[in-house]
Amino acid sequence: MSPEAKILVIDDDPDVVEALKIILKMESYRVVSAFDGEEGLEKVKKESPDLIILDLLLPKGDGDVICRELKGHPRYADIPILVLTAVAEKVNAKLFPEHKIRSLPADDYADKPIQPQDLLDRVKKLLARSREGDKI
Amino acid sequence: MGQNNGPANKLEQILGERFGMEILNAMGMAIVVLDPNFNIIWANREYRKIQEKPEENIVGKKCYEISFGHNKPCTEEACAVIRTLRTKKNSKGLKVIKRGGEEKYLDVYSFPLAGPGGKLSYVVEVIEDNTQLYKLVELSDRLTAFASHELKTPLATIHQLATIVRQMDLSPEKRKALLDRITSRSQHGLKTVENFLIYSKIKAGELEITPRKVNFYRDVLERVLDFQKEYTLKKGMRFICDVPKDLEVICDADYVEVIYNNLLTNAIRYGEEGTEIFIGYNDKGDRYHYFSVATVSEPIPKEDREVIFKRYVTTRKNGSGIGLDVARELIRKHGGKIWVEPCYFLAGKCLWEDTAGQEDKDKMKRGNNFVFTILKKLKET
Repeated sequence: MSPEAKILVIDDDPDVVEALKIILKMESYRVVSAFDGEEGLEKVKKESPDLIILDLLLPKGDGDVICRELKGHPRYADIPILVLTAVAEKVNAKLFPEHKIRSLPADDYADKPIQPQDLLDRVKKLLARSREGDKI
Repeated sequence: MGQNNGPANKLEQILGERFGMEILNAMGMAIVVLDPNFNIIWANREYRKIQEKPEENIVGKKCYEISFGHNKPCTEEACAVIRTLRTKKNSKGLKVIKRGGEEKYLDVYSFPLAGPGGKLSYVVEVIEDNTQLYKLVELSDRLTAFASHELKTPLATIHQLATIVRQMDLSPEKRKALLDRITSRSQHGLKTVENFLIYSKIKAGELEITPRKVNFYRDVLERVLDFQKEYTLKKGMRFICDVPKDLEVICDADYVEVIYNNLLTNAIRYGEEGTEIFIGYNDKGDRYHYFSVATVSEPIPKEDREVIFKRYVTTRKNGSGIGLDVARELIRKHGGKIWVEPCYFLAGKCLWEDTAGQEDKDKMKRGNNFVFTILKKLKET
């Protein structure tokens, strides 16, 4: 996968979006962003990203719903999704059912904050796996 | 000690069977006597109250039928009575039953009663309704979970930004911009912590206010509006502030700031994007200053309008349920009250239920207006 791959960041926190943009641009990835679930789905259709970094707790459509919707859609199911959330595994799933991330059909899960190199490694791996899939 | 002169026998003589029954009926715990086939032989008043059934519908029936509507006994794992029947020893357990759509949490203690020849004849079940206690524990767990959740989000972002500043090669402008964001986000985190600290002070009965005469706009509102501005911008919202700039109020400015921050955080969080938040003031000529925060949002149903100010109650997702409770307690300390009423919005104006005509209401956006009062003649300290 070329480093110019397009990555869609869906997160309602502009500071997180900015932080991820800075990290991803270090490797020359093109980054587009969306700040809520609705905008996120629109951007998936409009921008055809090569990878999606998705937060879970979003206005206008939670990340878990978006994740399931995209993975259940034949046109978008192959886009790798990296779920990046601040409350992932340690949260009380009874109170925050949207954070039961292991049951989501995402391709990778990581906790916020993420080390820049860790993010870049995960992105690289997911894009490479996705490209392998394309070849098959 | 002779058999007929023992204390138990003496008590029986004093009280007699009738008084004994009265005592059992007066107890706050439910008591039921069962035979080994789970038939109810006798039940006290509290048991009938918990089961919401008259005596004639209880005696002679099976206990599992009365408690759960089942036609067969519960499992031994779930039932203290079955364990007592098997082991002939005391046992305890938790029973959760549904009454009137509400769950009741009942702690159950069961004791064997031996008949002639030492054979187990009856089981006495003593039931304590600890629903309130169980619910408090559940709510406390919920508060801890939400507190951690609300703190982890800003902390994770601050850490993320700081990691970038520390590890990556950035231009001086970018570095400064990120450091500004770290400052702002940590300020927000501090406000969240402050809310929890005030909450714990309230709970401990240690919260005292220090009222002083202040210029309300300069010493309270300007600070609040400045702090909340970036969050309104994120949602394309703006403040319309209709509070006289020369208004003087005797209050504890720091705590009134907390009241506004809690009301505005909710207004921004639940308000419709791209709309206005109205901050108003009214002097009705009585003993109070009237302040209001109105926002275009899904109207709070009538039945929730009081309950939302209660401790731990949140009708929305992502809320700790303490923001309005803290606001209410701080307002009480200022001799005032808080309530919410429906309101309507038209062309940059906010109208109340009684001032908006029915025809206009149908065309207008709807919302919620939080009104709070502060006593005018608070004693300065």
